[in-house]
Amino acid sequence: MMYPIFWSVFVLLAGGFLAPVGARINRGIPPFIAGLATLASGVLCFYSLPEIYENGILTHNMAGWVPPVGIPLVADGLSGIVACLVALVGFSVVLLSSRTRTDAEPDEWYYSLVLVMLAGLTGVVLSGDLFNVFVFLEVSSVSAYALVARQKGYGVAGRALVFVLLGALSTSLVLLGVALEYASYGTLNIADLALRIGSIGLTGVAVFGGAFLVAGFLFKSALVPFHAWKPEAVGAGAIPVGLLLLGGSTTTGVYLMARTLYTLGAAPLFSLVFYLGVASMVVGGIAALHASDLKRILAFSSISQTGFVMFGVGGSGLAGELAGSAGVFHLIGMVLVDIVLFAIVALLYEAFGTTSLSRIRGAGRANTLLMAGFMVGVLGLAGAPATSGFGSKLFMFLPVVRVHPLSTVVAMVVSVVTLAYGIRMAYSLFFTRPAKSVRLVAPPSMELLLILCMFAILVLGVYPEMGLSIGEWAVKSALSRPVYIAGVLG
Amino acid sequence: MEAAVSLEGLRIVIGWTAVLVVLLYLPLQSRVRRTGAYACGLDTKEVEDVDPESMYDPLVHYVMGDIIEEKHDGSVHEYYYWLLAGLLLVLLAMIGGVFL
Repeated sequence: MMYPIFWSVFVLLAGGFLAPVGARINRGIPPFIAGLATLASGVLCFYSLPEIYENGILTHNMAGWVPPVGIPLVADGLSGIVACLVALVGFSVVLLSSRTRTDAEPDEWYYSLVLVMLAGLTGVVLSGDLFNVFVFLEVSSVSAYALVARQKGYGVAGRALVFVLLGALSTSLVLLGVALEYASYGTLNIADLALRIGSIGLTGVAVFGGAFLVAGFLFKSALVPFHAWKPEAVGAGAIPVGLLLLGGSTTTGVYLMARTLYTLGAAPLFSLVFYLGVASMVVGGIAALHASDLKRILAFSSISQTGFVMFGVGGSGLAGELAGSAGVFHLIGMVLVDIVLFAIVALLYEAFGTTSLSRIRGAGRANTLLMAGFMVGVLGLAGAPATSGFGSKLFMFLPVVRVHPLSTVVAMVVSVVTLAYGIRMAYSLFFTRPAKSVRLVAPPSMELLLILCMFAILVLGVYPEMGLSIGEWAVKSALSRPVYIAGVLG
Repeated sequence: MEAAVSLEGLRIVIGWTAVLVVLLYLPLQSRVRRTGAYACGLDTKEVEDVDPESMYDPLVHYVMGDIIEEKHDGSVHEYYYWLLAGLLLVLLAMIGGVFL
């Protein structure tokens, strides 16, 4: 019997197939199918969490073939939590898509691509085999290219092409890495690979393979200097697509890096990931402070926040597990903040038809909920007390400051920069006189989404131990290599 | 131990909140400028003359924000060089970590 969490991939794929078919009957069916599929995927993922917690790991061998020959689907604490985050982002994207204007009206193909991309991202997270990780990465990437390129507008084609060219190169690196790992160890099963790396050690070819793999994964996470695709793709695509790229793709990239570091035991890379995290937070923060388009600001902000997550994940190898747990906690907070900010930007875009900060000055002045949501989001990003970012950054900085005081000071200064660009956006949108008076009304579904996410950000801020314990579970379960190997290989 | 951790955390928060207040307060103050003909102190008026979007421009300039923005102008050639540099960095880290 297959565990419910594994069904989420198939539910999303089936939804992706059924959306265009349903449109032949009624044009209103595709959004309904997309909503239903993402909701079902979320329920299946969240429902499975207690079972994963109880058993430590859940596996399913596709078609009954036993690994390392067969293809296993694997869910442990880390993959379970990331799958839930992807599902949450997916549901929010569909909600945003149905209520907001995009320059290319969301039709059945749009919903089909969103669902297939979500299936790819969930597949990456639940796959226990490197080759299938590559296949699912390709599925999600190709859908992402199409979603960005279908948007109409000035300069979109060029930016979409940049995204495709960079993405193609990075997935080629992953494929090359997969091939070299197979040449070195004769297996692509992650558990078997971890076992063989432990017993044989890293060979010369495996080092090169590992470097290609890691470069591809870092591209997905959009860490500096692999980050260039993010402002291009998010700036060009529709707003819900931007959320999908930042909340979904980046989260998956972080997962892949964490899996490589923790389960495959790529110890030499902890320092690299840590320093790239610091570089990303600085570059992303400064660029966000300078950008003038809301989508670009959010893209740069995401690069900066991913830097914080990697600061924790990489820092866990240098300063102890607590930093890694805080990194996962920060990832959860980052996804919640992304949903809040993108929902507000989507509403602003619906009313004004632009995301240029100077042209929508004072736009949200009349809507208290949007103002409150934006402020909670911005404060959460910066790590102000009583928001999720506070707890995650605090528990990240405390262990790291003893080992790398200078990097921690840099991270603290970037937190201030984060608040500065957040306040700059908030000031422009909510605290200046509007050029034209437009009544902004959020639909009830979006209001509910905003309130729930704001509530979650504040609860995780007031009770940071809750978020930290989730992060701790994820990191501990990813680090328990013997449990992972025994769970998959039997 | 937990109390010590909380105290240290509190110090961090107080420290960066102080920096924050200075950073945010100063640009907001500079947003208002007195303009108009000055005649016996009667015709002056206060106007907002600084775009809120540019309120941190001096800071951005100081930390080379314009150069960073310039480097993200969509040039695929430049992005390829970054990817290559990143790949080399990862390779060096792997080789250094494993063999040295």
